Amino acid sequence: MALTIERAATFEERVAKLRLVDTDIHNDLPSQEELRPFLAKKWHPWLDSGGPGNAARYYANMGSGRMDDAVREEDGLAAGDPDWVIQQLMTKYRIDIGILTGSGIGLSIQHDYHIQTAIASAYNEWTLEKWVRPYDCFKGSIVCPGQDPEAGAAEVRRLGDNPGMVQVLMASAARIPYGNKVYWPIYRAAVEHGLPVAMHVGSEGTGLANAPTAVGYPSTYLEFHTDHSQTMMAHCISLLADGVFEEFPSLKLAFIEGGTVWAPYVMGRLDRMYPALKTEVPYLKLLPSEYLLRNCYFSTQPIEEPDNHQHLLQMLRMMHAEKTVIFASDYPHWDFDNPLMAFNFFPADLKRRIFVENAVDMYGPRLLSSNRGA
Amino acid sequence: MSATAPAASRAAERANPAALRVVDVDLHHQIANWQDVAPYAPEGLRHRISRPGGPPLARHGFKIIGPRYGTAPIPTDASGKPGHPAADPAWVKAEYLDKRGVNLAILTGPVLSLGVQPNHDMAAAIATGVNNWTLETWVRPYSCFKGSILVAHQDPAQAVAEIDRLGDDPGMVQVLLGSASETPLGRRQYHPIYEACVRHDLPLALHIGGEGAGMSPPATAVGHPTTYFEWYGSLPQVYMAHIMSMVTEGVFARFPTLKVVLYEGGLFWLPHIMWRFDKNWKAQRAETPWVQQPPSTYILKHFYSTTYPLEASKPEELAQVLDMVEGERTLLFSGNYPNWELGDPFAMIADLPAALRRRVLVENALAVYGERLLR
Repeated sequence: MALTIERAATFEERVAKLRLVDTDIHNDLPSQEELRPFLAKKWHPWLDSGGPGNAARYYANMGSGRMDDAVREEDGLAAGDPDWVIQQLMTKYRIDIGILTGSGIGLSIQHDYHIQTAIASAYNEWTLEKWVRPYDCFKGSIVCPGQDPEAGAAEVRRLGDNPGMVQVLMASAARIPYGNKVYWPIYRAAVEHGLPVAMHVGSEGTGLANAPTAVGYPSTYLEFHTDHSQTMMAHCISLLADGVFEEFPSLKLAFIEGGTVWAPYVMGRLDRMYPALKTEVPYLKLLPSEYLLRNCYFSTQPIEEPDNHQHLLQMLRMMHAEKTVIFASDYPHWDFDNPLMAFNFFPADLKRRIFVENAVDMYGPRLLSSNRGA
Repeated sequence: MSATAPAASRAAERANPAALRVVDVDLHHQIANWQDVAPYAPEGLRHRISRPGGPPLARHGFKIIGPRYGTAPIPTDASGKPGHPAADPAWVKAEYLDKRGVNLAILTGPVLSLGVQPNHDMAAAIATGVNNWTLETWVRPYSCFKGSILVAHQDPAQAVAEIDRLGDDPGMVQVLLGSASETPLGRRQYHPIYEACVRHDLPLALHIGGEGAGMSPPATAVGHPTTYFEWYGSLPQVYMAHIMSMVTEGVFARFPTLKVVLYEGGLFWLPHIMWRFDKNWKAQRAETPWVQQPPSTYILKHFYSTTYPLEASKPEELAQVLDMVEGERTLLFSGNYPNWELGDPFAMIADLPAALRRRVLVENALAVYGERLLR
């Protein structure tokens, strides 16, 4: 456990001792009441009324949406208590550091950006207070109200130097693609604080988000969930095509829970187009694939599972997974990938890159710092 | 073969499909003057089609900046001005088909956004006019050209009527609809269209191009792109959404002989889609009990892809992806004439494994379109 890694060791020595970094742990907020201490009084009437009238999606899992064996009987929560998660996930699966992605990601597609901005701040404070400061094995994400980019940037700046926060987090559900200039204040703030920006699926088609596909609404959860990677691809292409990585060359973008091996399509199609169509995008200086390989990261879960393992390894080689892919479990959700099982056929060096080193490259030294400061 | 001796060459091809060297499944013939098309449209709405500049059509606003046709041959008029490169069948045959060794070309036309035009009747009238004009001026006079039955799918009843009207015409080899759509194509209201395809043993062709226009949702799942570059790069996602929809809604359980050709979408995203879909189906299939097989089984059995444009890649990467998607069966050569802005279509397939070349250039098309190609 990271808890036991000696502070005296050099950064490299500590990295060498890491076994696994999990970039997607959904800690539960047991009750909105837990946010009350972090919300200004003027927002309390919202809590008194049971919270804002959040838009909710129709699409529902065939099961509970959680791993049934992760639910704690006394409170019915799967990840509501840090010590429970340490026991059920971190210890059992030999995970040293877990990045918390929580349950508040979708606030960026709710209509009322006033209250959602306040809730984002309260949620982030709650994460720090309950999960991050007491435990060096957990790292927080700055949940960002992306529908109001100025407010989002302000929240990034407010917490950007907190040693317990390692990334900015937004829903992949959106009404405007993430390369668009309206979002650049968020990226500027992230770069100033050396923070990657991560996007995470799940709220597609809800609230002010666009329909979950470019041809409208799917019918079933099976279709909806399989469609998720399309929002990721659209954002990825938008970020590449609108010149975000030219404007912010050090910005790191992580695509969480959207699959991995679609990246060769994005690189191959855009590289095919670029020589002929570059007149339209004169602000780009590199091939689209060069930006993607330099600036983008893709988390494993749900890792694609072809019958032929070699096929997956071939696709991963095309996207230079040894530099671009990071591990995620999605605990405690239904499609959790067991790190002790799912990667057994991976070459050891690639597995090490995905399990530890790429995450260290992406998040930097902050990943191993004390959450209470030096 | 020449345009003046179609009957003889047709007989020769019929007898010997082995003589075919290249079948191009995607030739975008153009309309130089909509007033030529208008007489072929239903009388009532003909006046809308003959209006100067053609019928009113909602557009998405994304366009190529710079040379539109790449190295495609372009005719010039008497004053030396470039004309339409694909408006004259004799010229296209002489300058493209004959010079590049293409024996047969399937016409896909210039109107790929009909399904998102707000006026259903107008869209259906345009489809009928274009289909009749294509038959009379391109297909009947030339054995080397085969037609697609263009339909406007937002009104399935009129689309079905058009398929039934032309479905047994020997010159028509597929049903064509723009992939831009108000809703995913697996939805039940579209099933009569697939039933009609199967009734006439016609493959269904989907072609990108109208995304973001008219009644279409924004061209990506997260809103409107900024540039043509972003728009065109994102378009295969529309095919992904339609694949998810058609499989989960049971289209292939209901129509086990339906074939779907995806135009201009590339290949490299298909492995991700198949594997993600199979994994989700294992856990969620109680919701769609009619989906009896793993989704990738339906995808590999029913969907076909085209070569223009293949993703840029190393040759061995292309070979690997072709292995994953059974490209030896599922990939068809598309020339995309005259839209060669991304390069020459034969250069595009330079890295195809040698063992696959004849399959992609000829045999897979024969397997998809069958005897109709040789009639």
